[in-house]
Amino acid sequence: MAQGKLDAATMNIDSIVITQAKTQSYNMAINSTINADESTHATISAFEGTMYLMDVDPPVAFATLQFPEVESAAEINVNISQKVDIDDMAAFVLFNAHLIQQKTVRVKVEGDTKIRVSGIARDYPVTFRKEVELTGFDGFNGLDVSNISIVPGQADNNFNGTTHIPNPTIFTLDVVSTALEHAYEGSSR
Amino acid sequence: MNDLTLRPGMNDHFVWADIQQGPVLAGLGKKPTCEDPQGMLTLEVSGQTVENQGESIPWLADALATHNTSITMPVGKAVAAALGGMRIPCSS
Repeated sequence: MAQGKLDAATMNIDSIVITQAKTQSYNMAINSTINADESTHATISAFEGTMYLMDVDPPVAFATLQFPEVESAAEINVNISQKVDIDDMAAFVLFNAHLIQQKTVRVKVEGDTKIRVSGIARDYPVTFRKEVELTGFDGFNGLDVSNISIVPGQADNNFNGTTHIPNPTIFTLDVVSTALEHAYEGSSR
Repeated sequence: MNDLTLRPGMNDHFVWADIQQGPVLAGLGKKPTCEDPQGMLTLEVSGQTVENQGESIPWLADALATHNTSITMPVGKAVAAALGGMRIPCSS
């Protein structure tokens, strides 16, 4: 019964902020809301949850997060901020590639935990398993550059402008000091 | 680009480049760009590198490399402005 009530709860991810980007790690701050049946008062123990990219077959685990203990209520805010070590670089690159290219990305959070129901002096083992659909960057559709200035006859720093980068996702990325791009004329004509 | 924080919504940011002028001038001389008052040219951007405070960030660079971003810009108009109004003629 406890597993059934946990499965019936819905999770919505409200925001994800990525900071402190390093080669092998980053800081992830996730704000999420879980809507549950408030008629049962229970405590879900802290657990380790694995995040999976569900848009590939088989699904690929790309991050591990430590979830805190939560008390059940009609609406639970679960906000976590922690350093994440990249255990599988290829998997994390695959997730980011999907996030950049696609309109939506399906992600599953799964982890084994325990639930303690108020009035019952024992813990029940349960699995926390939720799938969410995140909005992706859709290939930066709509990106453009304005206020272009070109200096012909100069090899270095001969082009500048203002770029407008759309971000339809819930992600904030505070990671980039320098992005170097190599551009060539498109062959689409 | 330097010091980019990508927030939800539209992000305006200064961008600069070292452009190889030969291919760009050749592109400006082709139709329909040479006949277009704006001189719209499409550039494809790929092969990006990403750094944060001296460390390379392959999990962004490699993910970005899987996607070619096309940017269409009024390059001809910008070149003409730099050349005192002179337009690149159609080469054929």
